[in-house]
Amino acid sequence: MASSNYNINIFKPKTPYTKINSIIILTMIAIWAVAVFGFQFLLRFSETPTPEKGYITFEQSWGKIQKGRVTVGETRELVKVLLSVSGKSIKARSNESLRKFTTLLTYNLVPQEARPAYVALTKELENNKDIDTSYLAAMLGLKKDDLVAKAIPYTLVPADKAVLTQAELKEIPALMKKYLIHNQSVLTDTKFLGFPFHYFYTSVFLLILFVVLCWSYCIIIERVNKKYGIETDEG
Amino acid sequence: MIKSILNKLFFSAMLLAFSASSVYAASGVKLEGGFKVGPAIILICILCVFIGVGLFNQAKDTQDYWAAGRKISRVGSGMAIASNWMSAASFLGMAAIMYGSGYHGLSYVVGWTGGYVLLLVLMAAQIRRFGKYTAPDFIGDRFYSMTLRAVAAVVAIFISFCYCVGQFGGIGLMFKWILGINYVWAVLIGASVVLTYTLISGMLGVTKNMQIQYVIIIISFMIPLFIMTFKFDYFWLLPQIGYGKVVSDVVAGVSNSGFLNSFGHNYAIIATPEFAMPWDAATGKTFFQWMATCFALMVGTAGLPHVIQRFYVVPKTSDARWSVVWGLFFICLLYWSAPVYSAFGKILSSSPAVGSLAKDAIVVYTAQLGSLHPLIVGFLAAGAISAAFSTVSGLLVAGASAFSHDLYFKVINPQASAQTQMRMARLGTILMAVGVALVAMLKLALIAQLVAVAFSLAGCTIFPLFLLGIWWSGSNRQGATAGLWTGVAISLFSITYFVASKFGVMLPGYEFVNYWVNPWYFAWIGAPVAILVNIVVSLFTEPTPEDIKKFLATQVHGG
Repeated sequence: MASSNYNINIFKPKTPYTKINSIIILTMIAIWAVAVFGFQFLLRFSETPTPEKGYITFEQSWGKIQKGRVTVGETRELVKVLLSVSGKSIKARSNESLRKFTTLLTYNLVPQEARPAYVALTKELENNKDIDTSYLAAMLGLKKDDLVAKAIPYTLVPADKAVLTQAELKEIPALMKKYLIHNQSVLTDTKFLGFPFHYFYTSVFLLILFVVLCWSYCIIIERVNKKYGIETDEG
Repeated sequence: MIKSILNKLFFSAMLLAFSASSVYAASGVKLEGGFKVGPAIILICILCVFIGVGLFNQAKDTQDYWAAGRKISRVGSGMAIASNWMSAASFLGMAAIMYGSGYHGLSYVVGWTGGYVLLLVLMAAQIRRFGKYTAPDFIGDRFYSMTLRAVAAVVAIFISFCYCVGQFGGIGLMFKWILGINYVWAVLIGASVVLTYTLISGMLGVTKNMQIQYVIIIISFMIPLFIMTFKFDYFWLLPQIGYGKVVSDVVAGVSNSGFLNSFGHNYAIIATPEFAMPWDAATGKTFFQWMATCFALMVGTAGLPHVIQRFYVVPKTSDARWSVVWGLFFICLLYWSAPVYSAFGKILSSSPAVGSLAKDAIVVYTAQLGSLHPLIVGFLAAGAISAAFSTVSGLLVAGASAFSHDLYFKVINPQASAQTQMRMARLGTILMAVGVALVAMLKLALIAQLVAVAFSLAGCTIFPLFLLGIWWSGSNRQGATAGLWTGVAISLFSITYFVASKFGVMLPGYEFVNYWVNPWYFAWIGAPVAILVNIVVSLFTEPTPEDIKKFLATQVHGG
């Protein structure tokens, strides 16, 4: 390429003005990039998959269930975990495997003589979610207005049709992992102004930084322009 | 004279709106359905004010229509940038994404604000010094090519088109909510109204409107936040900080707070850490997607023709810079606030009895679930419509000017009179609005996602041309052409896969393409590749003419 006195290249400024201009611009972009993307990398590299308490309960019971050695108490705790997953996510609640598994485990908890009534109740729930399910909540050791208890009518499926295939059963551990394990670190667990720190940094601080960066750039560049007599003709 | 008429109009509008409270009968606790009298009156009043302002500031000629005669102050221009920017995607879409995908939604918040830093330090003043009216104008002159100008004009129209689709979706949702009619009719009515006043007012009217719209948008968005943080006993003096505790409550869970939502359910939630924890598996979003979305939105911001175009309408170069600072600050006021809606929405809708809610309307639903006065909710919905309107009108003007000025006048018929150009601008506006309304009726995705397509498109096509066009005089016509076509090819590739899937056709390797070159963020790869192609081809072809280099060095960079 033929050399020219008018070549412009942000990385190879020629005049004193373009040199200082390039330094300012590249510094601003470096701060911006590190603040935005650098922090997310830091978040990524510092995180550890951290299970909720419910996941530990699930893991402890899951192996025993498959071997048929789970106790009533363990089953009860497991049903509560399944209901809590169902209760916090509409998507999880729409998962047929989760619903059937919860229905079948609850069936096992119901005393023999009350099982026909339980089956009838689950059938009725298909059409009416307002039916009283408080005895099931009580059986699980939950209060009526407990949020987990409120998930009962929206989770159970007609018990007489709740047949779980092997493939559906295999879905359960993946589902529990998906909803009960989270990427946490000191950055997410530290509180700042009530926020988890990383949330504050991204949703509040970065925006403040952007405004400050832009404001500083305007101030600095106007001083530089004044010094080098740029834009003076504009008044 | 005009001022006094406007004052009267505004006063009457407000009076009508507040008298509506006596008409408004309690609608019970129904989130959707039925004609809502109070919100409808507020909406009509606001639209009357917009049209009134547009009428009194009608464009006289093409210069007025495109660039508003360069009569706007720094703060005014900042407000116009903010209003132009704060669309249905900001007002409704961001909270929707955060409500559904948690921390992933913050990539939109950061992407849509961080891009302004790039825009300011790399482009604003230089574009103003270059002294053109439209983005294709710049591209055509800088790369001394009529063909490039025409292609850039078509790309600019397509970007505005994609951007508008999401906006019309938002307008449709809010008209549906207020009028209680079906979505298709709502889109048709909304589209007709926004088209009418854009045609009447042109950009001068639109700019004046934008300042009024900004005030309406920001007030309508803020009021519910103060009330909700106060009502649910959080730090209400600064809800944008006070909601930190709401986020922590969602993460840790709340039970028996003693408060109720409008259905009478407890203000409570089962511990939901996936709402705030980064790239949580439960949201279905990954670290890569966060980064790619954020980057794509940032480069898209710095490449959007209707945003770049605003720098031509300020009187001085320093005004171009300060208008970005003001614009960004005004934008941030809304962006600091949007996550508050998603956090409250999460708790207020947590009872299984509430069921599944349309995410794009979660801002309005949250206010309803928080038992806010129906008129405040109505004002909020009207604010959402204002946000969509202000953006759509700017986009229609950008699209129309690309059609009339860059395509028709500069390429097809250079002898066209000013009157003919004006006619073509209006024709372009109508054609675009009709096309957008038809596509919006298909409801292809969430508002923010539809708008993100426009950003990726701009990031792959316009952004590399401006970046290299300004900062590397070695970038020549051949390089720019190759880079632009590369960007267009990547964009078409991604969009084709997406559209085909929406019509039930899964093209080969769909899963792979949908993850790595997704329509919401394909610019993460498209922009760097387009830049690289531009550089490589430029290095191996004829250098840029000396007069263009000289113009860049002396006029644009002042060196």
